Amino acid sequence: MKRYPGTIALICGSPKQTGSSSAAVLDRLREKLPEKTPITDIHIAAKLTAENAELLKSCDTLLFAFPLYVDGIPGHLLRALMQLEPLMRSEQRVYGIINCGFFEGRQCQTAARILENWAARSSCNYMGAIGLGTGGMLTLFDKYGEGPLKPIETRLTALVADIISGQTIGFEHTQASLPKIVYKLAVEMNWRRSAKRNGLKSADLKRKPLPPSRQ
Amino acid sequence: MRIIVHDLCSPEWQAANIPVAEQDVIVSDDGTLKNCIGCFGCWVKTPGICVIHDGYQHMGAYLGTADTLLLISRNCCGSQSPFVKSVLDRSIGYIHPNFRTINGEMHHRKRFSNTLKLHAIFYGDQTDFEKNTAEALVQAQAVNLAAKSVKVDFIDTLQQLSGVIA
Ligand SMILES: Cc1cc2nc3c(=O)[nH]c(=O)nc-3n(C[C@H](O)[C@H](O)[C@H](O)COP(=O)(O)O)c2cc1C
Repeated sequence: MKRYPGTIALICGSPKQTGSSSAAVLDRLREKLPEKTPITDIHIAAKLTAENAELLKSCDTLLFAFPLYVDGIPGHLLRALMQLEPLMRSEQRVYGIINCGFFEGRQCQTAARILENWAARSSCNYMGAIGLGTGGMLTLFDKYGEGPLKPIETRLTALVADIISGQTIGFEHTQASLPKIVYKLAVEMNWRRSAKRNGLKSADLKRKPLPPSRQ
Repeated sequence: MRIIVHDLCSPEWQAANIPVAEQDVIVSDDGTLKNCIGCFGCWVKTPGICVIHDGYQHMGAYLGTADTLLLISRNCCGSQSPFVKSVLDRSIGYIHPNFRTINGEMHHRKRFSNTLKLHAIFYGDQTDFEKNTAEALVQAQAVNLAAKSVKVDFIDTLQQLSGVIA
């Protein structure tokens, strides 16, 4: 008889050392897992270490949480996946949680397909992925978990149930419940604030620098 | 002017015999490329230029002066290979952080006034599903780069390369 989910690897694939949306989503998910679930936490921020490769080999369920980069998987994580490919075992199960900065979670679908193709090449079991839009808000569960982030909470709760029972999920997507224009204005205000903190004016965000050979 | 990003090793590149104009910029793997660290410094610190100074920080600016972006990459599970993908990740200074709506979906505004022709060539052992995924990936990337045209080719061997490059 198969035992689900076995040891779960919660893999953060964001290159950010701290404060990533991927890590925040994994933290929320961790709280929803049954208390005694064996968990291995792994952060692939740059190169895959030999130690992490060994750890991943030994886990039963691999949950990759990562940001969408240029419509696909971030380059460093892709490199790590290529290195892991020959090490994977056929009993291992793979899930993905992909978050993106745009509003619509469905924009993560191609990255989910890349993960699925990787699982096929690694001959392990692809169980599906969820795509989360409004990535810029996903570190704010404490503030908005009962408000705009409720759809994400609900999706994560369902994902935990599926992981526990060994269900496949295909590709599911959602995003925070707020008007798109509100999300757009809030994120754009954040860019201007960050620019100011760096000593720039709002107009500087439009700079058109020349490359070295054309200066 | 073309920006050609490729993951071929030196002998493969030589053997491919791709006609290159003097003003074309060739971006290849010299082993020094660092991965994007997700800091958005290329938008809010030094707009248009990446803050990691490893020789690849001007990708956004180069794209701003180009008419064609040619990507030559092994098909890795339906994606560009880690090197080519990391170069693309390091290139988002080409676009502006603010948003606009295209086909009902959120995307970025343009920073530069040029529009690119995007041509992606995938080589290597690739399944139909991986080809379909790569096609979908490049189409989505073309929207985000505001490209005016997009072409995707799949080849089995590098001998076919020069045949698909106009
Ligand atoms: C290099 C780079 C490329 C990105 N490309 C996309 C993209 O194609 N679509 C999108 O919606 N968001 C894109 N984003 C935004 C990230 O997906 C978003 O900020 C995400 O919430 C970051 O997650 P993290 O905090 O877990 O790293 C990109 C960000 C970076 C740094």
